[in-house]
Amino acid sequence: MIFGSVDYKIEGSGIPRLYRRLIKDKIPAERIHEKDGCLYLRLSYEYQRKFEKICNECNCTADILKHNGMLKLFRTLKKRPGLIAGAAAAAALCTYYSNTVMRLDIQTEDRELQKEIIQALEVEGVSPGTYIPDINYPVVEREVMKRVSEVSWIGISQDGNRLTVDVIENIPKPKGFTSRLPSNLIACENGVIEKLDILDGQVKICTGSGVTKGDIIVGGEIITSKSSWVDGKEVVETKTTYARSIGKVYGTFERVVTFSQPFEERVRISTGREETVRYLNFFSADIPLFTHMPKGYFTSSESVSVPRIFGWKLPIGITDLDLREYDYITKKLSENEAVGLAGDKAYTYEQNFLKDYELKDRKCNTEITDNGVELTVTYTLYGVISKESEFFIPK
Amino acid sequence: MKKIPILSFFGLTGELAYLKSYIRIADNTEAIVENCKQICECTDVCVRVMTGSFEVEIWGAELMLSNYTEECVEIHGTIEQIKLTSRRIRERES
Repeated sequence: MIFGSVDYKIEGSGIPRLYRRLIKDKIPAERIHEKDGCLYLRLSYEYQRKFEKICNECNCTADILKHNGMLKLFRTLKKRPGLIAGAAAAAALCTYYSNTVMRLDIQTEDRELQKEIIQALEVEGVSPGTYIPDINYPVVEREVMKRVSEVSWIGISQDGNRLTVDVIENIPKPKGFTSRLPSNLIACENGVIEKLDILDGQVKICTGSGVTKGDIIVGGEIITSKSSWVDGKEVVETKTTYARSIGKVYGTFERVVTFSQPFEERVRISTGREETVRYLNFFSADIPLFTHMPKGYFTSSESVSVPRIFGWKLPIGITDLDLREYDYITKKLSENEAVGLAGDKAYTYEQNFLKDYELKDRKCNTEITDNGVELTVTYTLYGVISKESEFFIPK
Repeated sequence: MKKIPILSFFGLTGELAYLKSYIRIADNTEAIVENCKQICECTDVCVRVMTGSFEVEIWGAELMLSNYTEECVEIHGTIEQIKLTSRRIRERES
């Protein structure tokens, strides 16, 4: 009785004959009972026509009293085409969304790499909206690996209508071990040497001397000579050894930096416009509940509300995306404001790049042009002015 | 006294050929009669069916009959009495 059942009332003189036919023709009936000379029974919908034919042959009249089960539901729905259309649309949507890529998750934190992989997938025809059964995963994986050189392995797996792309990035080539190579300490600033803290190497320039960028202060090539007199002649024996120059050279140097601030500056301002758009979260799909996305530049914040039953999260929920519009405007600065902003830039530079040095002196020169302000700062600094420079031993 | 044979040929044949009628009763609410050849009557108080060799009369209240499978009927309701009459005796009487 898959499709439902029908309750019959049978009248007529051929009821005993009908009993025999029920058994003979193997018609399964339920709730057979007689009352007031009428036979009542319930019959599966599949046997309805056959049974009515038998009733005619047995001179009985069969009246339908009631429809039960799915048949009744079908008859009810027949009168409500809206429900049928809704159910059909829901079924169609479920089929569509379960077979269509709705989201791509790239399992890497590198944003640039994510973009590159998404572009490569798009070229291979995999993007949100692609029909999932059409995707040939091994082929797509191979092609993406060919296109994106930064990855050494890629694996695509499907979870509902979400595609997860697992990525193993290239392992960077280990830097060569160079600590045993001989090295010089060379000057990295134009200045005057004030202090030498040398652990190894041969000092070439003494304290108090001036150096320019690239000068070798401490050499890794140590030449020793030994002279002796043999038969009234001087014999000089020269011996070259190589060392790794280790140490620090401190000195005072000047650095000139120019900070410019134009009178016209592009600044970001909030327009005050706020919009909220909603998505229906159905399993892993985000179905937009709006017809169009508001146009403009927005900052956004997302909040998800998922109903719970006995502590279990339901696979359906609503995501609210709050959008706050912003815009860029060109702001005209006064002379004082521009000088102030240039000073701010200089301060930021000092905080970021001059922290390792002792600031001995600071001279500022402000020049105002037609377009803006140019702040030239001359720093007198004290600190390390040397760096290691490796060299190869000549054969 | 008539001698009862230890092994009856017809009895054994009937059993092996599944010609016997098995009747299963569950409490007083359900009875299943197998090898049912014909339904004779089915009222609220009495259900009468013919099996291979017996006429089975089931008395009770609110009785209903269902025949889901071939040659097998199920009686639901409040069963009070079951009476079995040999078809041969019944035919002789009628």
